[in-house]
Amino acid sequence: MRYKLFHLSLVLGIICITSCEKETVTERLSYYQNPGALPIEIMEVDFDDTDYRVYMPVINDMALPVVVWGNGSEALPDNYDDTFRHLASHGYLVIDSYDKNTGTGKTISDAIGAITALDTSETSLLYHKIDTSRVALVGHSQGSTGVINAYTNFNQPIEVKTIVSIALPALYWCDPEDKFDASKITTPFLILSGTNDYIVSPTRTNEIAFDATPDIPAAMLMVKKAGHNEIQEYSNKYLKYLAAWLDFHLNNAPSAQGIFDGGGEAEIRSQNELKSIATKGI
Amino acid sequence: MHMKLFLLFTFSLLFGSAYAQKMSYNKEIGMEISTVSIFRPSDKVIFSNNFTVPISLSFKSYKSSDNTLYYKGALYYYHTKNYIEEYGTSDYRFTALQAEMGYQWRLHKLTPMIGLMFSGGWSSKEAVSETIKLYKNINTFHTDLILKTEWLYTLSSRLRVGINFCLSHKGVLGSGLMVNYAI
Repeated sequence: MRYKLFHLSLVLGIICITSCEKETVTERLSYYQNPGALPIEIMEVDFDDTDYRVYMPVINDMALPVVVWGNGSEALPDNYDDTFRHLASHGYLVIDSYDKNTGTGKTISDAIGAITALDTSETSLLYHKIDTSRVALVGHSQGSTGVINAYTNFNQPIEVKTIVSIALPALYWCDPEDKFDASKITTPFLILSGTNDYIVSPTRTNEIAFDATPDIPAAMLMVKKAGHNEIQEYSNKYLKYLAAWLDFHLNNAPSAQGIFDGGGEAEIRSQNELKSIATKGI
Repeated sequence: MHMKLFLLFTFSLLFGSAYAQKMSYNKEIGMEISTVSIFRPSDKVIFSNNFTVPISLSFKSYKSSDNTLYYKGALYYYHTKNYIEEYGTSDYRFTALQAEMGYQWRLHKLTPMIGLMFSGGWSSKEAVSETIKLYKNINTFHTDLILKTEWLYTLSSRLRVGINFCLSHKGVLGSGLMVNYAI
């Protein structure tokens, strides 16, 4: 009898593990999941002997909110092409360097300096295209430590409106100079990661970063079945949360209201694809 | 997914190994007051601010000879909940399958045991604090390798009480007081 029970429990366990859950995306989030309506342009920019790639919407006479990107280890702008196109089509100017080791935050800090200088240089292609009062730092993997370090370890000429970490690595994976301290973040902070990223960016690592932040608006989302490089995939699972968060904090957009805010009624809580959710101060 | 299948495979091997041995077979229901549970929530926002009642229940099935090797499989449930609403509400549940092997020594009524336990389980943490607008719903799968020692004292043919100390590979220390009832 006990053998039968044992085998039955094994079979039931396997069925539970392999069963698929229906995913739902609500109306407001589906707006951010789809590409925006704006046509985009891509350009290469050189500043202070450093090359940057810039994605931006084609809009005249309007200063754009900015996303300064931090690459993951060995990654280049090409790896995030779809994500950058998505953000640009929603109205953001995205600037990314060709640095493959962004963990210290130096390159990202340099990029912030570049956009402030390029915005005021009459010879620049980006002259008066940039709204330096609406700047977000977003990074993937090593780049997520880079954006935190750029914010906490360097003096910035502008106010950073929000930071987003994607696949934040556990501290024991970080080189000593890349180690970050989330307790020093004093601007709204979004933590995105995936449940299939349990080696580099396990849930506990992201929760520690979430808990460490002082009394600031913060959110943590763990997306089911998303791996470490999910953000590099075409039409990836992070796009809608990233675009909605940026719209919420950079543009105060009505369409982004109620997605992260609203406590227990926040729209993210009805997303079946999210395994773990935490918010505070929103 | 691969990790979960690997765990199922590991458990199957351990159980299969235990059943294949010619040892006496026992079943126990255990209740433990986890003075310091190795599986406690490490949330510093709410759980550390609240009075909690950490109780764990386990069902153990084990095989052992009098003085040597033992194998043990357990279904383990740990629950802690706070009761002071001033700091917010919190509820933490941890359910695990555990496989353990080690050595024991029967010294009249006292049975010291030392063993290595593999634990794989799911935790669910819910926390709400209106004062800091905190809403948390964290669901994770944990695996732990645990060095464990138990000291059990036989009160009757069915009832044993004891104390345990353990150390996980993550460097977390734990201890508990146990009451085990043989069924």
